[in-house]
Amino acid sequence: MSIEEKDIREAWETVKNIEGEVGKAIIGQKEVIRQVIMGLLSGGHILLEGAPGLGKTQLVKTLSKVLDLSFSRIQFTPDLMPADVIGTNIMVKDEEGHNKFEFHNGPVFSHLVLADEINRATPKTQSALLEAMQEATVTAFKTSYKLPSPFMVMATQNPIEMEGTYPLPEAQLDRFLFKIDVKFPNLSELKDIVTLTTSSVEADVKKAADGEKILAIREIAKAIPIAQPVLTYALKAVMYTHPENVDSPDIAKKYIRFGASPRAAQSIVNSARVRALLEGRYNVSFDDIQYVAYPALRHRIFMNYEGIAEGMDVDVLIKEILHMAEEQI
Amino acid sequence: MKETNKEILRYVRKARDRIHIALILEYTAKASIGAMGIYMALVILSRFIPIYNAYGKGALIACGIIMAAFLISLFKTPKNQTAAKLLDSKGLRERTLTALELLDEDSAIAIIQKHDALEHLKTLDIKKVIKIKFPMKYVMISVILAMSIIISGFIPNPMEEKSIEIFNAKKKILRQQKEIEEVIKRIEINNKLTPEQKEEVKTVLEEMKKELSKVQDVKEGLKALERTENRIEMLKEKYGYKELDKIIEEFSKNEITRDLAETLKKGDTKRLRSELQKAAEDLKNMKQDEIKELSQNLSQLAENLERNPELAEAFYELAQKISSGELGDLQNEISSLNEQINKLMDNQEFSRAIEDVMESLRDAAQNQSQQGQKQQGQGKGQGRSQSETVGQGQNQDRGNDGGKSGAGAGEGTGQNNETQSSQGVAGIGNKKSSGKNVREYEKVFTPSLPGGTGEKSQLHGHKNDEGDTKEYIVDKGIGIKGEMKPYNRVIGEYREKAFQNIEGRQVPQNLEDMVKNYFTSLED
Repeated sequence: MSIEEKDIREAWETVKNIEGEVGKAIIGQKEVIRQVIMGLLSGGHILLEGAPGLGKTQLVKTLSKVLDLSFSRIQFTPDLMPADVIGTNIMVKDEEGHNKFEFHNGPVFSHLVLADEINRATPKTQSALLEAMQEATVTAFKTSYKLPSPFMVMATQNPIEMEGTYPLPEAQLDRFLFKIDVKFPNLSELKDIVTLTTSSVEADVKKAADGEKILAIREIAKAIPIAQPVLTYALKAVMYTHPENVDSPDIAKKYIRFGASPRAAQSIVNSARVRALLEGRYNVSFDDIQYVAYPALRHRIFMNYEGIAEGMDVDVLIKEILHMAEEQI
Repeated sequence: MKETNKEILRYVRKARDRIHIALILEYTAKASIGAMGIYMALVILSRFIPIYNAYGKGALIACGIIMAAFLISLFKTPKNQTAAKLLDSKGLRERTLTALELLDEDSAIAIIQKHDALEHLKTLDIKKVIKIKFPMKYVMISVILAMSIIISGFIPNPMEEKSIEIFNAKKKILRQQKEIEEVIKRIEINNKLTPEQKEEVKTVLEEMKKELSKVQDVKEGLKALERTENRIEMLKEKYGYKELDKIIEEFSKNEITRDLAETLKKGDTKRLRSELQKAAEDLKNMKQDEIKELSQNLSQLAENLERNPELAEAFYELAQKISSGELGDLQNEISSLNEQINKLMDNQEFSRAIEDVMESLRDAAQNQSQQGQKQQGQGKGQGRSQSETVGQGQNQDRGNDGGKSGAGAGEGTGQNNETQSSQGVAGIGNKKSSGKNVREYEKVFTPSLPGGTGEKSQLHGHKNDEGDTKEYIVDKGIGIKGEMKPYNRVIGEYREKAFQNIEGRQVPQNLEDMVKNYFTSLED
């Protein structure tokens, strides 16, 4: 695919439009919106963590509107079964009146899937999403079904209500590109939210792109060059999350039980490219790596008992790791 | 496209050159601080421990460090990547770095990126973003340190003199070691020595070399040389140098054996037997009292050759035959004597070779002491004795210690106004003196031939009087049986005797070193 300057400019403008349109319906949370868009353009999935009522569902709904993509929401509960997610074979009559099994798509067959409170479902159900997230396919009764493209899962989890939940296993977490912390809005944003949602006026959200466009932008983003020192910086950042690594900072050795997987490095580089594009740049910078490292590493670093006991903030760890990696470049 | 690449490279190189210049200045300035610090430390240290030419050395080190830093920084050109990184840090967000990597790529995105990078580079004023600042702070610190060093130069250094001494000592010791190496080489090519003898001398010299490598000053070096000389002297004695002298002296006394003495002196081993035969023939024509006297002399000689029992026995048997009047068949005795003297003469060759070695060592020692000591010897000198005799003489001796000990007083003759003549005797170490460095030593009275068979001298003490009274019994006119000698000569005689005793195992082995050290210490 030959990329021209106008394609890049167009892509950049499209992304700006998407941001603008989503921003109309979602008050504040600019970084969350940006990171979600980055996730979508990187072909990844997003884990949103935040208290209820912070507009997580609204964000996904708005995004589907802006992008003119199909959207489904799955409320994860303990009794939710995998078939409820991916779909199942049901007996139907064919044209000749014979009975036959026919696969009925589950809610996962949408461009944008909101897996609400994903940690409330049993691991069995959670793992039903594994194949969908990684391969963008679903296998039921020995038959694989391709999911629509672009496909993105946005899962939410509530960090305060942990009772009766099933924390996502490491393998599941690793499949999310970003883990985004949805913060409580400030006073001004809260005022705007209340004003907007309690009146009869609805946000006039327009379509800014479609699935095709998103896929094209993805291709453009993949072509964004990254200099070797920048790439090394990203890789070192991942390496330093491993406590067994000799060069890792002391803080990592002290508090980290397991470090990030190679998938984290892929996530960082891919999303950094998208970020460069969003910034209107034709190359990845150190800043891009730094920016995406937090959401990309946050859920991939597993703290040991000492870290948990001392209430160590994973973002502090990432900051130290990035600092160390920067010094080594 | 190529133009874009060139332009990007031009910017990068321009930045790189400026970084390089800044680095050269910074490195050199920083190195000058380090160099001055080291210089200062050396100067301070030189006031506590002796460091020879601390200022000179410090200056040399400082210059070396600064020069090294300058050269290293000169050849340590920053990479283009470094320059690109620096440019990117001025708000270009890794555009230059990426463009530099994409120089060889012609893909659409690469071209776009490079154009973008170039556009951004053009907005940069490289002279402004990469400033070449003269590192004034570092230079000022260096200057302050340099000034402090200069000022400290005006403060007297109590260690300076000592450091000079040590330096000279080391230089001399090194020279000594070289000299010894030369001697060892000469020993190697000396055909007069047997392999065993060579090995023996080499061992002594090697030991000395080792000893010299450990010594710290000239004094110790000279002592080591002296000790080596003593050991070589002992080797000489071991190989019968002295015995041959005794035989020559004894043979010279008698008319019949005088030719034999000459042959021995010349070292002519081939003629020795014929001369012995001739002497045996001449015996038959000798008078009875002359034969008796010769027999007695030979017996006496045999007694004096206590260190060579085989030779002594040969002489003794010959003396017995002569005294018993059996002059007819002396073939066995002559053969035996011929054999023993031949052996001795072989050893004499060794002694001569050893003498060469010792000459070299003496020269080495003399060189050291001439430079190391303030006292200078003189070949010609005037002396005043305590017995109010004024002597004037010419000394042709060679001294081993130069001005320091003036130990060698060899064959010089003296005259005084009381017509007293004296003959030089061996001084300390029984060494020949060059006469260049003769020191006046306090003279002491020493009776002639103490304990020997010479002139008698008596000393009477009056216990009940107020002080000691010395009374000398003399034979003729104004004279004394004995003489006033510089004490070093007296010590030399005693020393020689002591060493003979050591050699003759009369001194207990565990006390040998003590005796040697004692006499060595007297030379200081």
